[in-house]
This record gives sequence, structure tokens and C-alpha cells, in this order.
Amino acid sequence: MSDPLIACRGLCHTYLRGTPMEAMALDGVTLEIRPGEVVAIIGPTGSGKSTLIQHFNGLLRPTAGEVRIAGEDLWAPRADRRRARQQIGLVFQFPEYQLFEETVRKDVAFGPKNLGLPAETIAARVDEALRQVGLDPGRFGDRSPFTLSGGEMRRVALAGVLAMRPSCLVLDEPTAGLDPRGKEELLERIAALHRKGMTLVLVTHSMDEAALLAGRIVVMQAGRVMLDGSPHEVFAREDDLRRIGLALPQAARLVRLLRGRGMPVGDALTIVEARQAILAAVRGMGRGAH
Amino acid sequence: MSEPLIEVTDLRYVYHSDTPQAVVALDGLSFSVEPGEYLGIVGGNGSGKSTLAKHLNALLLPASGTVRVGGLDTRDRAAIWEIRRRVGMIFQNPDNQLVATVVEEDVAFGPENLGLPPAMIRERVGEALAAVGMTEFRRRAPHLLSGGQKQRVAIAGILAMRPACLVLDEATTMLDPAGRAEVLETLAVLNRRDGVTIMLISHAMEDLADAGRIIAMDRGRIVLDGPAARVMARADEIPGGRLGAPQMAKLARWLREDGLRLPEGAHTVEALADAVAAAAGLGTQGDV
Repeated sequence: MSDPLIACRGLCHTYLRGTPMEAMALDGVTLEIRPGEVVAIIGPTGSGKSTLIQHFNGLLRPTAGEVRIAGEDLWAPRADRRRARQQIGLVFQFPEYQLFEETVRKDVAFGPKNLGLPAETIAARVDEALRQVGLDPGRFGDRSPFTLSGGEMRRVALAGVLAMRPSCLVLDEPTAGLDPRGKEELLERIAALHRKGMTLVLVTHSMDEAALLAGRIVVMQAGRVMLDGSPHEVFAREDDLRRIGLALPQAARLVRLLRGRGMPVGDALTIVEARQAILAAVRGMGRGAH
Repeated sequence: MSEPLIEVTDLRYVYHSDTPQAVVALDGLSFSVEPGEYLGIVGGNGSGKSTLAKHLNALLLPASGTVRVGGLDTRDRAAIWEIRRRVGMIFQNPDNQLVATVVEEDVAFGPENLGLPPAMIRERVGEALAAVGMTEFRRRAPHLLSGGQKQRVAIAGILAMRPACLVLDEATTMLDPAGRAEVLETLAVLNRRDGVTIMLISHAMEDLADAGRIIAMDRGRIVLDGPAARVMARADEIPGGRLGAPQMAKLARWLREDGLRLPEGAHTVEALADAVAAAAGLGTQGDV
């Protein structure tokens, strides 16, 4: 079994410590992310999701506990946090608000340039990153990012992170505010990155997206890990999820309702699974009747 | 038939007109909204729906065509404040819409600007907070509320102006599922109980489950306008292809292709469960 790429142990984070506004955002989180995994982090607003992922590349310093990236303690005296930041690419919510350069190419080149890479290497990385997000460098490279559609701008921002060649992408609400087509395009690109070996951590409010993409789901509540397991394991705990204001994926809610009506439908988390489960149940009932 | 609340005729709008970057955002729209309607407006990014919203209370003025609110033309400068009072707008980010440090002061902000007497302001603030179910939070600081609660306070601030119509532009996009459900429930209640006209703009068909009618937009034009169930069933055919049917509508279509007899319009989880149970020869929950 491979070493964890990200490992948090007893991670605590308190904002504004020692002031009347003191707030504990993380309260002893222990969690490992292994290379090649797709992990969705879900939880209500204020449960600590965004604080947690900012610890994954050392943007925040733990109040207690530790974070290791590829085995190295991020906050050890001589730790190389720059390297960790390059390895774990963090894509914030609405990342297109951070675009600022005159052209798409320049914007994507910003990170690699700061690494001090030679010009040809930068150019090659920029083109590759743009292709990875499905934007043709010839068509989009010289355009102003501000003339692009919302979905295209977001993909440019993602390309800027990919140009750093991270081994793991951490995405905070990657599809928020995109229309269904923009969502689909972005999710396809993300899935393609995973097929090429990229480790993915996805913070999302959408149970449907978590069910569709993730191999594992971590549920955060009040700064702690409440549940951690496969989508089927996590979504089997409907009552626990409901208690903290989370719902099941739509397909799962549908099969539950059908079971309540007496239909022997198997489990389903996506509509593709629901289609099969419903058809199997209908056929089974038909045989029973004849 | 009553006079339409909003009447849009041949509306055209161009950004950066007379420059090489000119973009036609609205390309000849006509529709009207009756008092008490719950209208959904759906379209992809760049379809013109936000540009349309900004025309409804004269934040933008038509390049050609007209927009009338209760008979008042939005190009009539003398009518502009009355139009803005009648058509209240709620935007995507609740943090940008709250101005005061206490919830009830925030809700009072609009009526105060109308120059109403203090007793009347207090009455309206009380009513508006009750209408969105936020009375117990009236002395709280808005920035400590959840996203859904902030949006409800923003809605109360508009209601306190006694508008004829609420226009919500992607007002659920930044909320978590609980906050989104909370805001949608509030809108449904305001519409059914108080008769408030609602125009909910979204690119998520799933948000429009309570709408009676849906207008679908693409590239500045109306491409579908009809009863919600019919528009949802045809979502995949909407030109521009940026929308896609809600998940349950897609599943319903697949199951129909597989031979299940399902009626049109089963586009929510509950409705599809009823339809599938009926098709499988089971009763509804009440009959079991």
C-alpha cells in the first residue's frame, strides 16, 4: 500500500485565538488521502471544510496536530512548504475572480514564471495546461480572459494551477455558479485528470456530484470528521446526514421512496444506477405476478 | 383579465454599442407577467437573463423596445423610484446586499429611505421578518447568520418596501443545499400565501420546481415559454444546449424508453416516485 499523499493527525485550527471572537474551526481531524484517490468532502456551511483544505498545502498553520505531505511534516523547522504548495494545487471557490493578466497565456504562465523556469518550458506547460482543461491554446491563448464565458474563465483559472504540475488537485466548490453545460464540461475535464493519475479532493455541496465522481466521501460536522467511507456507506446513513442538514443524492431519495411504496428496488446513488435498479425491480415484479 | 404587472415588448440591449466589442445581449424579447405568477427564467451563462433582470427595475434601459411595470415606462425618469419600489431585486451574493449591523435595521433601511413615519416602519419590519420566518433573529448581526438566513433577511428588506414583484437573480447559487431549500420554501410561501409575484432566474432547472411557468432563454432570445412541466420535459431540446433536463426528467425519459408508462411532467423526486409506483401497478403511499 502506498504512502498517503496528505495525512492530517489531530489537526486543530482556532481562528482569532485569544480574542472574544475565538472560533474553533477544526477540532482534531485525522485523515489520510492516498495517491490516485478521488475524495469528496461534504458538510454544512461552517463545518470546517474550507479551513481543512487550506491546511493541505500549508496556507494555514495548525493550532495543534500535524499535516504531512508525502510523508514530510509541513511545519517541521526546515520544511519545504513551497514544494508542498506546488504538489497540492488548491483551486478556490470562484477562482475566475483571481484572473488578472491581459491574455489567457500570461495568466496561466504566472505560476510557472514565479518558479523561475526557462521561457520554453513555461510555454510548453501553459499549452499543456490549457489542453488539459479543454481550451485550444491557439484559439484562446491570446484572448483577454475577461472576454470568455464564465465556464471558460474558470477553466483558465484551473489551468493556472495545473501549470504548476501538482500531483493532487484540491477544488473548493468547482462547479458553483456554472450552468449545467459548463458544469458537465468541467466535471469531464476533472474526471479525465483523474484517469491520468491525478489525486483529487473535491469540496462540494452537491450530493449528486459527490456520488458521481468520488470513490470516498468524508463528511465534516462542527470541525470534526463525522463519517468517512465509500459513497454507499456514507449515503446509507440518511438519518445522520439529515440531522446536519445534508440530503441524499436525488437517485438515492427516489429509490428510498419507491421502497416505501413497496417496490423491491436495489440501491442507487446516480440516475444510471437508478435506471437499472428500477428496471430490475419492475421485471422481477412482473415475473412474480405471472 | 387584469393589467399585466410587467410588460416587455421587443426589448433589445447591446453592451458596448458603437464599439468593435459590441455584444447583443437581448435580441427582441416580448412577454408579460401577471400579478401573482411564479415565473422561472432559465438560461445558460451568457443567455441574457441577468441583463433582462436589470431591465425590470430600470438598472438598465432598453436600446430599443419597452419595459413597463404596472403601466410605467422604465425610460420615464420621473417613474424610476416607483418602479424600483414595485420591483424588488435579490442578487447572488447575500453579503453584498446587507448594509446594517443589526438584522432589523437592515430591513428598515428601505422604508426609512421612503421617508415613512417610525411607527409604520416598525410595523413593516415586523411583518417582513415574520413573512420570511426570521423574527427571532431580528436583533442579531447579519454577518453571523447562515447564507440562507442572510438571503431571507435580504428578501425581508425588499418586502418591507411592499413591492408588487420579487426578482431573484441566481439568488440560490452561493448557498448550501439547506440554505437553498430554505430560500425556495420562503418564496413558495410568499407566492401562495401572500400572492407576491415571483420571478426566479436560475440556470438550474431543479430550482424551478415551484414555478408555474418557465421562460427559457438562449443568446438573448426567448426559446420556450410555457407551463413549467412542459418546458422541463423539453429542456434537452432548448437551443444552445447549455441547460439539460433536471436529473429526474432525464431518468423519466430513459425509463419511458425502457417501456415504462410514465406521464409527462414527473420532474421532481416525489413526482417520479409516484409515477413509477403507478406504472409498476402499486398504489401511492396512502393506499398501501
